Amino acid sequence: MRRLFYLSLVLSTLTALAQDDSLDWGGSILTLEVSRLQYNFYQPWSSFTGGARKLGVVISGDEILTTADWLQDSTLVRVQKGGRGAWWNAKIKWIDYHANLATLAVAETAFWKGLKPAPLAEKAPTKGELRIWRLLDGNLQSWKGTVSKLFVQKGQRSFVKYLMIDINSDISAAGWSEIAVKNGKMVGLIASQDANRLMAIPSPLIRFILNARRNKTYTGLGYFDFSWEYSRNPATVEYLGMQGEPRGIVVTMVPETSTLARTLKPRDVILQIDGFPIDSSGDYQDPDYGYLSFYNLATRNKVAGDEVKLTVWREKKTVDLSFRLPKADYEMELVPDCNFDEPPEYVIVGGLVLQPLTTSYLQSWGSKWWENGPFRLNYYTFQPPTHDQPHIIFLSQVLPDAFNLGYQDYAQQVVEKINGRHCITLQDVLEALKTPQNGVHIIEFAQNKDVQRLILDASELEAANVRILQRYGIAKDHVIHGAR
Amino acid sequence: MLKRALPLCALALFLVGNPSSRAELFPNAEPEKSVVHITTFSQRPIWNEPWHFDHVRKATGTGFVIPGNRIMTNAHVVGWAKEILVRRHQDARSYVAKVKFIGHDCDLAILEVDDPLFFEGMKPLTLGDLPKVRSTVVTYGYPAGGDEISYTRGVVSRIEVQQYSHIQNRSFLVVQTDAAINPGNSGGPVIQDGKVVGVAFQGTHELENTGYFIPPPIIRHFLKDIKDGGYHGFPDSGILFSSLQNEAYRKYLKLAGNPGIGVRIDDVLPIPATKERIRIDDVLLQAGAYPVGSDGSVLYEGNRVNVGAVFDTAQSGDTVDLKIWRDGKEIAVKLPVYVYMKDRAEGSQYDHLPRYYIYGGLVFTPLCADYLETLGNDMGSGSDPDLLYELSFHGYEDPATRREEPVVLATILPHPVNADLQIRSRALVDAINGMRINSMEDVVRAFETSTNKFSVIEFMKQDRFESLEHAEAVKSNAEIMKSYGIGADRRL
Repeated sequence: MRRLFYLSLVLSTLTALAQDDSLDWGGSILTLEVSRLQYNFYQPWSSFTGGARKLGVVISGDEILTTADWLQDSTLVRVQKGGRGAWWNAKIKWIDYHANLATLAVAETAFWKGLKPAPLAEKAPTKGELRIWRLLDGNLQSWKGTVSKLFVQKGQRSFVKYLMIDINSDISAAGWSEIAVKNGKMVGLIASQDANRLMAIPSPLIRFILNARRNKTYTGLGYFDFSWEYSRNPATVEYLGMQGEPRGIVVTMVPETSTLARTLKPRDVILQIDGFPIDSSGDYQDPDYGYLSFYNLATRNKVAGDEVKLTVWREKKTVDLSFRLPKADYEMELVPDCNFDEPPEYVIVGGLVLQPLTTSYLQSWGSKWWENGPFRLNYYTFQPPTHDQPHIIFLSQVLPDAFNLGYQDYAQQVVEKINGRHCITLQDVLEALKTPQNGVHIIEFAQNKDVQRLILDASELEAANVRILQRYGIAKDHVIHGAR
Repeated sequence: MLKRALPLCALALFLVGNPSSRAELFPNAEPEKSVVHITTFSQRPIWNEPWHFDHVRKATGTGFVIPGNRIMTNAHVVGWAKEILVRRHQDARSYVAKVKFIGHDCDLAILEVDDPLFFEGMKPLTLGDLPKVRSTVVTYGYPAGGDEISYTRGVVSRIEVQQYSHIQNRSFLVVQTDAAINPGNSGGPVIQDGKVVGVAFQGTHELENTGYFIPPPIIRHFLKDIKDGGYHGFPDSGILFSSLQNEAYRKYLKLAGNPGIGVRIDDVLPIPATKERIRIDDVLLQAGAYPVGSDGSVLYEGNRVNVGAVFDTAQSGDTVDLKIWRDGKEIAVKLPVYVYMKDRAEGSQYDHLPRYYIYGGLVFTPLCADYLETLGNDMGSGSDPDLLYELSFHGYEDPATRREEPVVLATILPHPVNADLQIRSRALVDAINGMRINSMEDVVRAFETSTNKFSVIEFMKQDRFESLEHAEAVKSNAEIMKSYGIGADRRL
């Protein structure tokens, strides 16, 4: 009896593996052609048109799923079936850059003819082989992959850490939303590739988010916003008054802008999250996937705004706490990572180009921006936001003109005040410029080694702006999101 | 960085012609007889394991004899030297020399030789004046370690204030010549009309036909400084300037008249004498006898150079007369200037072996540029951004929270007492046992006066902290010293 059972198990596995290769995944996978604007953050008034080809997968009778990556700032998205033939215009129905997921719709019913929704697995594989499917140069391809592990890491375009499948494969040029398939079902969407390692967003997470969205309960990804360290050092554990083996994670810093600032305190030891014990390495035992980082508990069947219960060791006793997960938002960072689907913001004041500091600007220094870019500005990406300084406005460059003579070499200075007004946003800059001081605009920079202050003639500013915009071929003296 | 000191420098591109042309230049002198070949055996400390020394390095340079049986050379020729050997022109014998005075800021040093035979029959070279641009000079030296002296000729290309790369964070007057600089020439005299008009000292890989020498005003300053038996260094005015060429700013400061005169004072370093006398938005109209341009330059012996050159003529403690524009009128200010040491850690370190203290295998040492370089960091690569920020930016941006001597956990010598620590090294120390750490002395005091069961070390990065059982840490020290072959648990 036992032998028969094993045999049947083997047979079913073989069948399923065979299905991965025999199923017509070509009826589910689509080629996407994305035309998009690529902004020059160093000269934020200019952009050029770029494009990308990636993949999508049909997940229902009227919806295509793909990764959000490369859809940012898109101007036209087209879809092709089977790797050849007609292109169909598609619209982005929903996009979440943190989750790195998007859905597309095609209005023409004829498009959907012959397409088959791909079934999404309810559980991600933790080991074993799978197949990776894609369309490349008009051909449907299938590659072998091996699951190395499930682990938690930052999304491709996000600071939020969530579950990923780490797949080893010989496939090259992947990371364009190929699908990973096992036992006849899609188990993940390939988000990135590093040599032989592929990172796939697991289907259970995709299913959870899509279902929440359909049920109108999706509020975005939530995350834990505090710094911590392992409690592996027994002396630290004893110093904190705990008995027994090291366990839990030690909170070291909670940014003052965090929703957790009123809940957690430095040197709290988080022992449990939603009832899951946290070990001294910051891991919990997931019922489905074994040991995973506690970060996963912010996205495991939870969305932003959901309540999380914590059991914390504080001042030599156990305390139960709860808080609501903050919504992942680039604006929560001192230097926002991304600035998608809107042109870069700037204000030109008499040739002085003022911009909000973003990672996109810093990335103007190329793939080694961290090494080649301005150190001090780069270092702001390490610093947490504060209530006084949630964001940074800086002088990125000066467009030389007689009006700003003597200032032409200044660049990369952080603006603190204009005409005595503290400037956190470009809107603050515009407001401050309405109140010149005795006929001049006083621009003060955060304390630095180069220059602390510049003065501009307020009466000539408008004429200078017109002249400078014309000379440098710039259409608008400012672009501010939400500004009239 | 544009210019870096070559270990021991300078090769000329234009070789000096034949002996007869030399005779024309120096009808009454043979300067080469006063030029000496220097061989240095040096050993630098290893800054992240500060009880160790790097391997012994042999290098060669040049020097020349000046009045008083002294040899002048570059500081970088003899920095960290363990043994210095000198040879006279065309003499096979080596003599042992010792450093008598060394000025790391201006890259000059004076050597002495105990054996009186060394100076026998030698005519010391005398110091001339700042050479004119376009005039011809001849360098004398031993480039590339050659045993025979080499003469090279070039013209004075320009004179300006520039970074001295031996110390890295100081700038003084330099003379650029079209002679390229290569290892070995460093410390050699640059001669014009039989007199020394410079000491060859650095080159650049980025410009062709370019070498630099230290001009007479800097050499004279050094020689005057050491007259009292010690070297003190160049003073710093503590004033940070910003150009004042914008008409709106000039109007704002009620400064009428010649728009080419007056540079704005943008900031003042925390030097009490300067803070008391100088205000931000003062305009410096004249420094000493020199009217100051709106770009911060002065006309100095026919050369437009940074106003810093005027302050560099003063000795520490001297007063510089300034004409300042303040609140719409001109005032006279007598500004005493002093050597500024607060940014010492940002420059290259010399003479003093790194301080350290070991507690439970945790090695604490002061943060400095050399420590960062030991980690393989070219300053600015950002491999250890927290350390670079603390060293080079924090003090300027937030002087109120500046630490006199930031301390870093340089390394951990593995031992059971520290094996469970999560922070491994390269971490800036914020506090120990609740005491804010401003210096190495604070580290020692915080550990050695503790009566707590646990020592708690707080780090700056994300407020992380670590604990060690105090009694165990103290007990482990002897064993750790023995295991790792360290003679002493501290050098303070």
